[in-house]
Amino acid sequence: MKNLSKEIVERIEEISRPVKIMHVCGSHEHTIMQHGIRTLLPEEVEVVAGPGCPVCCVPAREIDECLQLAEKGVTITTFGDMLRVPGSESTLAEAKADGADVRIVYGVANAVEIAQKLDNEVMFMSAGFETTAPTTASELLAGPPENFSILSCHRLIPPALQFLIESGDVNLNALIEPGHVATIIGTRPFETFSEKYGIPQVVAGFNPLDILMAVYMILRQIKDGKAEVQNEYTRAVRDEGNIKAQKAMEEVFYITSREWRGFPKIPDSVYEVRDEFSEFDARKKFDIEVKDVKEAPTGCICGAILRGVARPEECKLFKKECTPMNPIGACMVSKEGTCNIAYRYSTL
Amino acid sequence: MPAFKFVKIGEDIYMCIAAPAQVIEIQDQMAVVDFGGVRQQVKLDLVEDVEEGRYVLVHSGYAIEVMSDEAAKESLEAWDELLKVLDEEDEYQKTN
Ligand code: SF4
Repeated sequence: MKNLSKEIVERIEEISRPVKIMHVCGSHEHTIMQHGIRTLLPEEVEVVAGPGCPVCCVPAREIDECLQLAEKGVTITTFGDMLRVPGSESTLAEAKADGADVRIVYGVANAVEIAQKLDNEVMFMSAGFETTAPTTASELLAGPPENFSILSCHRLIPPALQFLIESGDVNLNALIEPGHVATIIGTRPFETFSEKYGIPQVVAGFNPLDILMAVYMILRQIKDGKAEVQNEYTRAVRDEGNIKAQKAMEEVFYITSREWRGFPKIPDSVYEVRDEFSEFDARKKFDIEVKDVKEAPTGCICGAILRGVARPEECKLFKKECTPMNPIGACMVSKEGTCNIAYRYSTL
Repeated sequence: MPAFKFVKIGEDIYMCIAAPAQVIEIQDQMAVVDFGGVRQQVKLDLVEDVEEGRYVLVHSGYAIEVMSDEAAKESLEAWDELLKVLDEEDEYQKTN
């Protein structure tokens, strides 16, 4: 078998030109760093990470909401990475150390099981993009126990892209779209970025060859003066996506506007629970009132990193005060966070 | 080159990642799937037309897509094929 990565890199070099490509997936960043893909590419081909980490994108306000419920004695269940994400004053890990019932789960089904076994109120903090949202929707449709609720922190990728493009902050020329988000929503929701803004896009998988191929396909589009959505990840992505999952999401959630970490309110960018399911909506079930949110710890530039305008190395705290063992900002907490990934691969 | 990062359970979960697994046994809306030796139960509520022996893409305890056998095995030929298709497109454009 010939060396495919070498062949693709050669093809990239042949048609190379200055371009800034953004991806929006923690798992893509992971592949890129793990395999040193940036060093394989010509210098003028820049690949930057955007808001691709669902845990990092959860703003302090939503952590504060969870902390309030924890204080009220509600059992909090969430993904492990969520525990050390900073709220205004504290984290779920600190609340747990102080005696709150905070439990790590690997998915919403696991949280429902806990609710079935406990008499206490159990809230699942449901973070995640379109890949994860259908799993939450499916559990609500299946009729969870009465003592179960969710705090929806589900966020949508296309509106964030729209916001980034319109803000002009990043000056991105092309996009690598997240494969597993596209498994659910398909390739069509991305089309508008090519049509309206002339941005070439490739939906890509998570093997290093997928990323190289995506870069090549983007350069090829630019060379040919094209801007369209191409699907490199046909192994798992159909143009129409997973219709059954889309229907489940639509039944359970409506779309509304809310802030992301590092971003102001992004229009139509989050999922909230529909009235029909309000008995399982923690925001309706309990009185949560969060005031005076303090967004980022002092000195942390996580917001700029999530917007794709800064790299971790530009943060004064990176690898000094801020490490995965002692994370200061959300981007260092999560294993999908750009700072965390940069730390792990810079110390190898 | 490793095909997929394995979905780790517990603290180490990668939220965006999904991994292919083979369906061993189906009971109602649940299946036992096999990730190259490690078995796990997954829910089938989000997919249609799954059968024992087929491959599914698993995320967060749910099958989120049914894959073809070739796709799940992720052989290098797939990328080779793709390069060929792109080249054919180039040829076609040149001659038209
Ligand atoms: S290194 Fe730490 S403090 Fe700096 S931006 Fe990243 S998370 Fe924030």
